[in-house]
Amino acid sequence: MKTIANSLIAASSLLIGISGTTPQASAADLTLDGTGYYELGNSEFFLRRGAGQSGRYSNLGRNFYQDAELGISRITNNSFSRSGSMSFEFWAKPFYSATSGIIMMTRGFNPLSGDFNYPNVQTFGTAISLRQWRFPELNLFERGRRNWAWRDALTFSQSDYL
Amino acid sequence: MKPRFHLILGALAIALTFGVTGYVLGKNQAPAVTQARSEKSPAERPSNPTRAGAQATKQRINVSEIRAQLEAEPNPLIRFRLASSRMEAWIAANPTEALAWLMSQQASARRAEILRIALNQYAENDPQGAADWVLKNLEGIELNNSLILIAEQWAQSNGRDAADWFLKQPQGRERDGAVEQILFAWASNDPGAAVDYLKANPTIENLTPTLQRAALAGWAKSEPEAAATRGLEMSRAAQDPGLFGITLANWATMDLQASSQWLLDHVPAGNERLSATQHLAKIYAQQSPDAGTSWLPKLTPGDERNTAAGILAASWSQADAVSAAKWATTQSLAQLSAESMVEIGHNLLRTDPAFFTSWSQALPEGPAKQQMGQFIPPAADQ
Repeated sequence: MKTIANSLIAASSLLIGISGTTPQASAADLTLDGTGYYELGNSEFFLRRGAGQSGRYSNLGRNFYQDAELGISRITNNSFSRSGSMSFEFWAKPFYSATSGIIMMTRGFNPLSGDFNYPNVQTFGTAISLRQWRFPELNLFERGRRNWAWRDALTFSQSDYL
Repeated sequence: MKPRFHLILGALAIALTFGVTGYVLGKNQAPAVTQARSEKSPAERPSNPTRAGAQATKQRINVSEIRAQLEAEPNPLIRFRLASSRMEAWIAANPTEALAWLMSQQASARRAEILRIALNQYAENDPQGAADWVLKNLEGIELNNSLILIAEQWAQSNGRDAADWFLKQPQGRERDGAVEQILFAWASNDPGAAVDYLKANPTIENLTPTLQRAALAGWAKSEPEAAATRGLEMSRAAQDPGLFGITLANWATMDLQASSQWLLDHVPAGNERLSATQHLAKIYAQQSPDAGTSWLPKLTPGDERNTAAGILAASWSQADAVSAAKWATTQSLAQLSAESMVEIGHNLLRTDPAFFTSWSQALPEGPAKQQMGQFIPPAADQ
């Protein structure tokens, strides 16, 4: 595999940065907990019609892609109420603690009951192949009544060739 | 390492989809990644001949003729095939007209495909025109990803023009992300100019703190000590300790040892150093918890060391709860906060409930132990 399985740490500074610009929706206290990782395939391929995604986006468009696996120990709903649908996303940030970046892959998850979690999350798909050095990051969004709202991020402290 | 075939294939793809961006980026990366970049750079250079070809074609193109041919063709499949064959020349001659024609066609995967090729070519020739078109015509993820790539490309050649132009556009998440990208890319090439730009424009909407962080992070790639020194001055002036903390953290992502030592040698105890140690503790936890525990004794006893130790242990416990928990209860360097101990306990309960029970029972009485006594066993998980 060209990449890495790495442990991640919640970036509180990033939380502040992004929450200031993301539309808020009423919803649950959702967090990414424990260890997260990503693995990217050895080869890339060109998809004329883009790669199907789920979650916030259904397709990221015509581009070069690579097989990808994303994982996290737990996606937890820390509130008592049921969450909205979720989007677990792989991002490429220009620098450590940046507030914006290129969205590489999105995967949808069903709503989660209050005080429950999805353990040992492991999801497969196709991610954009940027072929550039960036800081990888896993993000979690929740669908509110009108908009998707950012909930949590796990960021890597080393850049990678994504 | 990928096979050479894939390197070449991928590089050609980037030449097609992103133009010269990848090459320019590669040229400006930190020394730590020079090896990887030097392998792909030669293969990425063919993007320029593509562009030169488009320029040459421009001399011969008759836009009216193309439009007439396309409008005369009733079969949409043949029409798109014809458009595809003439688009490169049309974009070189009159990009807005070409894109307007494309947008006037019925939406389809075929249209999207030609549109993307056209837009990439437009961005190579005229990043401002491409950015303007993207802002007006795309939305969602396509707007986000396209704008960042165009902004980055533009900033490599002229950061000031790119920043000026984007800052005149209506504020929005995608535009703000593009401006952040511009300051980072600009400062990666010309840090003095990028930082002076922010100094001359001290209040850019509510973006100044974000843009200062981006510029200093870009600077830290090539001159980390200079960036850290300037970041310290700017943090103090703005009373924004996090600005220095993130600058040092970006250095630490490239050289944790050197950045940690520089901090100890050059920054006295205070809010800026406290912010930096918090970031360093997180990075140590990810990259080398053992090195982190060896670093802690060098910190000032009290708040600075206690806070760093708590963050180190709590962050470490996310990846290796047992080791972090053992260290937390056997170390004598720092007083860990109740919040840190609870987070360690939480992660320990998830990974090793039996050890959690004995570990938490052995803790001294206090808020941490009391809170952990109320944890719900993992059997209740979905």
